[in-house]
Amino acid sequence: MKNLVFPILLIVCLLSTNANAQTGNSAEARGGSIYSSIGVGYPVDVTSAGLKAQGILGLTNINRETSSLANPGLWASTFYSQASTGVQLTRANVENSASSGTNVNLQTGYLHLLFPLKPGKIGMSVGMYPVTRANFKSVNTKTFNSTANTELEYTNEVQSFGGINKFEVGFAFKLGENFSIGYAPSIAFLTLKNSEALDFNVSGFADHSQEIDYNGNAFAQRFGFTGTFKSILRETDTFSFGGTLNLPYTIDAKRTFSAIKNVRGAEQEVTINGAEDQNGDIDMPMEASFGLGYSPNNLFNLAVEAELQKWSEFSNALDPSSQKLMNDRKKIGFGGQYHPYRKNLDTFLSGFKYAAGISYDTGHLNILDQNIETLWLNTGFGIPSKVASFVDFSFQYGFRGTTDNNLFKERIWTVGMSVNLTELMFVRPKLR
Amino acid sequence: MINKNKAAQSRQLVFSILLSFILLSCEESGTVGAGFINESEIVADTIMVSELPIKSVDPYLGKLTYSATGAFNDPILGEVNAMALFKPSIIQGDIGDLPMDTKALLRLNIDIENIYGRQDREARFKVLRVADFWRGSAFKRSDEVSVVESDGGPIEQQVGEFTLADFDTTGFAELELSGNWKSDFIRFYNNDDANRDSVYRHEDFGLAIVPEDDANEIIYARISTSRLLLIDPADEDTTTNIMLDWATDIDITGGTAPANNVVLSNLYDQYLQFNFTDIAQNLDNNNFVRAELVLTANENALQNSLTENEERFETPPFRIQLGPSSDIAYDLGFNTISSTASYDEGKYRFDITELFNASIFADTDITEVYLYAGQNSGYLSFSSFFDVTADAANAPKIIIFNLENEE
Repeated sequence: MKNLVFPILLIVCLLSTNANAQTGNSAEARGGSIYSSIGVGYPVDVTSAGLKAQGILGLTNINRETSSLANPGLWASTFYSQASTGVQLTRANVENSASSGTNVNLQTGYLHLLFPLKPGKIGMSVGMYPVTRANFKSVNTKTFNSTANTELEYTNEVQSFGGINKFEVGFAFKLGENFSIGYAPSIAFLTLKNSEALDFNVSGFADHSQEIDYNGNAFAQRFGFTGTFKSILRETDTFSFGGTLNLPYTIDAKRTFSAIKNVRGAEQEVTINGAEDQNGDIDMPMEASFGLGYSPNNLFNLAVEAELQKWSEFSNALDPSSQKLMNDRKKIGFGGQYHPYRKNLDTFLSGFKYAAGISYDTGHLNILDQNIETLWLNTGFGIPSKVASFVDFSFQYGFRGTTDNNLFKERIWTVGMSVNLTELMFVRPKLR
Repeated sequence: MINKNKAAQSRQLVFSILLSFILLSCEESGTVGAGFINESEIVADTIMVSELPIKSVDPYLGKLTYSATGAFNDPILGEVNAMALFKPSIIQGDIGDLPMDTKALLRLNIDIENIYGRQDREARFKVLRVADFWRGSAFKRSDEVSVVESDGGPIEQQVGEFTLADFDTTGFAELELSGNWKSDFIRFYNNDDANRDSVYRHEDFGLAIVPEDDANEIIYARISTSRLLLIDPADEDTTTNIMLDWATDIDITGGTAPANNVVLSNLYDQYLQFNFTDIAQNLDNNNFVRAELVLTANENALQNSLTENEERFETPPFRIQLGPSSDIAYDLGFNTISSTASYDEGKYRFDITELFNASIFADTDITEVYLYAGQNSGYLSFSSFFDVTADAANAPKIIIFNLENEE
């Protein structure tokens, strides 16, 4: 594991940088879900690959191997400083009744730092993570009628990139032996760019590009709690529950339209009258989640979790048409994890931990009376180290959407990787 | 211990392979989604041009590449009478003074291919002395120059004559010049005074190529490549003189434009002046990718107005230039062109996108925009457009290709 320190740190640095630059950088992420082009992007479940492999968010305290951003209540029980981040590669086969294609997207995830202000009692979390993400690009060939009554062709490269990110600093406190609570205020940043680039294949029409930028920020806050009980049914078992409440928040957003036009022989960014900057509120919905976990012994744990996001309450004064498509999102996940590495056996397969799970998501969109649902089948494994650090891999196969009403169905493969480092990683072992 | 190391190495191998797979995976842009995502559409909007004001200008007609000479009654353009003016230089060669019996040959170059009017090639042309002062670099259409047609005294006035049959296939003919012009020219040539050039410029008015009265065709002389050959009869020594100056004197009278039409020739004598300010101001809310001015040529009238044996030069290119201009006659020939029309199926289309962009986004003054027939190299050509009184399909219009959102 020691040999992996350098590449892991490199990845952490890269991902930390990308987390800041993610919005609006078209070269970084492209070809994501077509449904991410609606509203302020597709909701992102910020979980490590180890939790994705189980199909859950990580709301309970059933397994303390890696830190989790999902529930602020979990941060009180850490004994070590931890840093975690992740990356996910998605390949989706997209089809509707008229066309099909493949989208590939490499998406950086999150950065989470966890500090034990009072080990096992009070923890502090610093996180930067996406809340929604739009990362869609499509090059469409279109036609229009010229004045010569001929059909002229052009291509339109439509892109939607960015979304809402949060920078969050939270605290958690242990209450008695079994409970802990957490509070995480944050600043939510909206940086979303919808652009079009028209490329004409005919003379007399200059290439044209334009974009609509949405920017804004808001104060957001969320709460979490956990309860953990040992030896309920047997001496070695653990039962845990946890829940979160994300309060709704309103982003004071600004919409800017700009176009590149040839003015006096030079390309120049211009503002069209009637499309001047607009200010408006974007109301983000309340979210609540709850989960139960059970571990009969230290080798195995199970969890079932549910989440509700009230996207029906979403509103966007700058793009009212998108809110008509929003629907309450409900998600439920069930999964388990097996930890053979804890047996300290010498065989190859016993050197990992394994996970599997299933989740169902109603989606936050309802288009033409069709919920854009997603069913995920999840599995994965983790590579532990002697110093309580992990590299986790998740493999997910999902079905999203429908081809009914000429909508799009996506069959999605994702490979995720997350790294969870503890401060023990950097302690040089003493010579014995 | 060895087994544990092997297990650790295996785990590292798995990690490395998966890490490489993730980091090296290529990204692909999507191609699916047309029609689902919210994107703009191009929608054409038509604005009829309400006015087509024609302005006149007194164009420069000196030192053009080609000098028209001849006569032709064009049913649309009118009765055209043209004569080419030229003046040989008096640069002295090595042979010194010329004897008075020097042989003078005009090595005249014409465009043997392009003839405006009847194609009989039977017209006869005379070379006559010019009776008035003129200067090519300042010669305008309004300048009146006359020639000495009849005997003005004891000395014969006609200097030379020719027909198209005198020219070889490359368009050259050697025409002997004679009469009192030759003796006057030799005196200027032999003059050794310091002011000989100035005296020659002001006291000799040069020569003109003039069609005979029955001519019904117009030819194009290329004076810049024509020469005056002076041959000493004693030893056959030849001095070749270039041309000092030249111009074209054109009169056009009695043209009849077809109904609902406006005629523009490439003489730079007329142009259309548009004020696009109001239209551009009304467009400042539009996100347009092209603005196009469309004029419709009356091809039917152009094609059917000549008899079988008559031809015109091809219609000229039409251009747009941004004013205002303090010397429109000069600027039409030398100022920057804003747009040159494309021509297809009877329609002239001018890309005026940049003009409108400049007005809307850079406050450029577009109250005076000139539309004119270009490339006045001396060939006479024109076109006939439908004007604002024509039916909507043919009347001048501006097409705006707006980018509109599907929302």
